[in-house]
Amino acid sequence: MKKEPDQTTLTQWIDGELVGEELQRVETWAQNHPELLAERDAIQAMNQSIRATIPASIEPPYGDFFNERILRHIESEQLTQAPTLAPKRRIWQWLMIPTAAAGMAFCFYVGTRVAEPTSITSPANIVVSSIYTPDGDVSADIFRAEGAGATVIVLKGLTDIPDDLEMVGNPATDSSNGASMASISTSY
Amino acid sequence: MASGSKNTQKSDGNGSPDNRRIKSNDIASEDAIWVAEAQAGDMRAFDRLVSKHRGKIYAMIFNMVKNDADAWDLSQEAFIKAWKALPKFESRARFSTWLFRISHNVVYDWLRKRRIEGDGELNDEVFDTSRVDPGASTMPHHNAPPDEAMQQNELCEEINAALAGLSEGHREVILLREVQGLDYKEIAEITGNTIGTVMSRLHYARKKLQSILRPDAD
Repeated sequence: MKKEPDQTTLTQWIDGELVGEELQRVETWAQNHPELLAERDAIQAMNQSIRATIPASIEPPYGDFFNERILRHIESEQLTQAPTLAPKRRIWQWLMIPTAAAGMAFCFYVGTRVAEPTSITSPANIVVSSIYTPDGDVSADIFRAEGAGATVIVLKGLTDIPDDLEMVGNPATDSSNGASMASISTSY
Repeated sequence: MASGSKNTQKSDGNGSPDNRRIKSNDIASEDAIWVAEAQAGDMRAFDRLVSKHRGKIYAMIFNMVKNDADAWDLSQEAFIKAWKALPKFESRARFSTWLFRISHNVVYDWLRKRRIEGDGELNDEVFDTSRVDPGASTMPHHNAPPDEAMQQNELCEEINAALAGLSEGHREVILLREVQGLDYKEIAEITGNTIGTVMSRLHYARKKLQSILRPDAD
């Protein structure tokens, strides 16, 4: 061998991977270059130290938990994927939007129909046919004032209102829904 | 849940090549059975594969990132990726080589991310062995006599420091070749390089290691 072996050939020689003629050539070259032999010995010793020092296998801490975590991760990913259901779910999602909107509109319509005040429920138009009075000595007469749009109930047989009864405030009126209501607070 | 065999295992330098080949074939056939079962969806078979290979994968990743917590997470990530890619595994390579290839990708992705987060510069502290807690369960343990243990610890520190002084590419080929005992072809498959590149890297990595370990030799 006239030429110095290249680095890949030298690497193979140091690692004992060379065979045949190529090995012979490098060995011949090395005989005339003792520094090469020294380098090989040094590298082999260094490799030996590395093998003796650095473990090829280190059991990870908490080995069982290590495995458990991997399996749990895989299982959770498998659950979230559920590949065959995904397209169907998408179709349902598309159908759900107009269905929900239509449902809401229907409910709103029904709600407005139910809550709408009618002439029947207007207090002014209530036709009172009878009145229950818990006290048997008290009777009630009903008068319908069509012009005023009011019904007057006259109670008879009530005890006199005491003189010290203090009428507080003014009649409060509530004109919502077209009805008129009055209330007075009393206190003794 | 299956558990691992032993805490640490040195690379086998004593067995004869024939014995090692037979052992390797047994391991490969056992792997092939479990891989086939796992490919059919058997999680227990995959669990057995994890238990069997986690030591080597964890050691390799730990020696690359030099941080036990990160190594723990990255090893798990490697196995999860292995499970996902398992249907594509065709048994042309050894299962362990294939796992090392996945681990290589996981580690390099992590290193790239760290570089980006570190504003374009790799944080050399990551590879500083002095940052590793000597009492950490991932540190090699020895039960040698005190004087021998001290020498061994010194040597261990020197070698770890020297390995930390290498680039990731150089450190990786040294670990795969000297610690894991893989051949050039397997290393080329794992690192995604040609065999020529692997040998070239080994050459320069050894030169660099020598210059760190024996600075007066140059």
